[in-house]
Amino acid sequence: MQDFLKTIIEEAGVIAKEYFDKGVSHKEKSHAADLVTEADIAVSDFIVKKIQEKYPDHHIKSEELGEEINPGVEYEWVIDPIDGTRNFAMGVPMWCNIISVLKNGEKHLGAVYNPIADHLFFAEKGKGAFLNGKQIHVNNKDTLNYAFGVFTRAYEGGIYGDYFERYRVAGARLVLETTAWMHNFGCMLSAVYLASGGADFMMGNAGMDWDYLAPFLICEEAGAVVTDSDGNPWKRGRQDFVVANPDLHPKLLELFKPMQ
Amino acid sequence: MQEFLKKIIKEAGDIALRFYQKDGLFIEEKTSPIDLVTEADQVVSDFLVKKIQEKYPDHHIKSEEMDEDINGGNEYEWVIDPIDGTSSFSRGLPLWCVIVAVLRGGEVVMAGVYQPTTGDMFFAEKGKGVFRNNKEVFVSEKRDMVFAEAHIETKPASPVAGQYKTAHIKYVEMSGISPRRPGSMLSACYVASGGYDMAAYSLGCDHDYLAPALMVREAGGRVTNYKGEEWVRGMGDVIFSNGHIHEAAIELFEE
Repeated sequence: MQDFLKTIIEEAGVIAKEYFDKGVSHKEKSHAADLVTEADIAVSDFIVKKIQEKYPDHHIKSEELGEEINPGVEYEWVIDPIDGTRNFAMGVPMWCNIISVLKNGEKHLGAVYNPIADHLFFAEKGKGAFLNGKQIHVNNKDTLNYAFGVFTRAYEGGIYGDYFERYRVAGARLVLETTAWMHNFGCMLSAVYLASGGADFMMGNAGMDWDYLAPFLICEEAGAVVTDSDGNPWKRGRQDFVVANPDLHPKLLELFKPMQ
Repeated sequence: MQEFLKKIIKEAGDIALRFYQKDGLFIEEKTSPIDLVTEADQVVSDFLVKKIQEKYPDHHIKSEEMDEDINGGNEYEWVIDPIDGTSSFSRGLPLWCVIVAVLRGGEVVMAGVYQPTTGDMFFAEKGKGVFRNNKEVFVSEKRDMVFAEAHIETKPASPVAGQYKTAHIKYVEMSGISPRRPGSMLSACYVASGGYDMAAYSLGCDHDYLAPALMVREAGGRVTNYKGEEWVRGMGDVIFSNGHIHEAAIELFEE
């Protein structure tokens, strides 16, 4: 199943990149920053078809699929055909393909592919995280001083997002009280480059299972702590998250306390 | 000169890429990531300087990695940032670029920005527009701050860090989203190509800003400092925008 997953996500990435290079038109979904393009649909259709051919009885869920296929079975595939659609649509080369496999509701396999840089991130529960076949680990940065951080905060009026007030406080404290360098790529590539030691932390409050499941498994397998903003292990359905190595993570949770 | 600039910047990028990765993998750091960057920076700079000297032996050349300028005072001046986004480079993030600007009589007449990890080439010539991979690009049509895509970068060492922090906080409230920040001058190029609506940098040098400033202006946008004064050489902070939201962008910085 691992090899099959790697093959289809790379094939999906090639299809997506052809659309990206050519340029796509887009439609708004819930608001002006929530877009869908013909590439999202084409890539989703491709992945769903491949999984159905190989595993006709598996459960399949895709961001671009109206109804789920075979819900209730042991294996579940969760697909975000193109994460970072706004970047994709606007010609900004920061987006990725995401596929997760759950077994009895638990994260089992995760794959995130950056077709532009040809970086394939892959993890299997309990077996480590890999970038292009080479094992990766989080770094050991243990302070917010000049930390390379990624922070995203949702708009209260949108359909995505949760725990708005505590993220408003944490975002302001990061900017005003620390020397952290705030980055944001506008897609889940931030999380997988955290897993490979590139970024130091990532926190946000808006996203869906198809965004989170695979990147978070990759982060955990690379040694990161992945929690919700209460500090409990992140669980499916929560939109809020805090990801960092074990030494830095407690310092991020502190940021949710009101400003001094 | 156009074809020469495109050719050498691409070759320089490919040299940088050999330091960055091998067979698709990041190179194991020999000593520390910082040393790796320093070495790559130096090699890429030396390559560009040598190429320019061979072709234009009397031109003025200035590089981030060179202590002294070559042929200072000549009509033509080449300004080089061999690797912009060194923090991304050292961290294995494919978001860095090579920048070359050419000035004539003190005015930028040609500029190239090349991203070796994606093969993306931005090129501009004064009065002739800006091109991404040979296709002409323009700034976005966005006219308000709601969901506007902005890169806002505050370096702690900047003398105007306070104003930039204010802008960051105000932007989040007005846009409803978080600032983008890949971490190099590529964001300014995305303003030129319409992907981002604005990009603000709190601290940088001429070798960072000259090339993207030409690009954003050629694409129809505006380039000023945080006070709204037209950006000129020597200003340490810069705001690139599509023009339409420029006044609103400047207001973000007012406390």
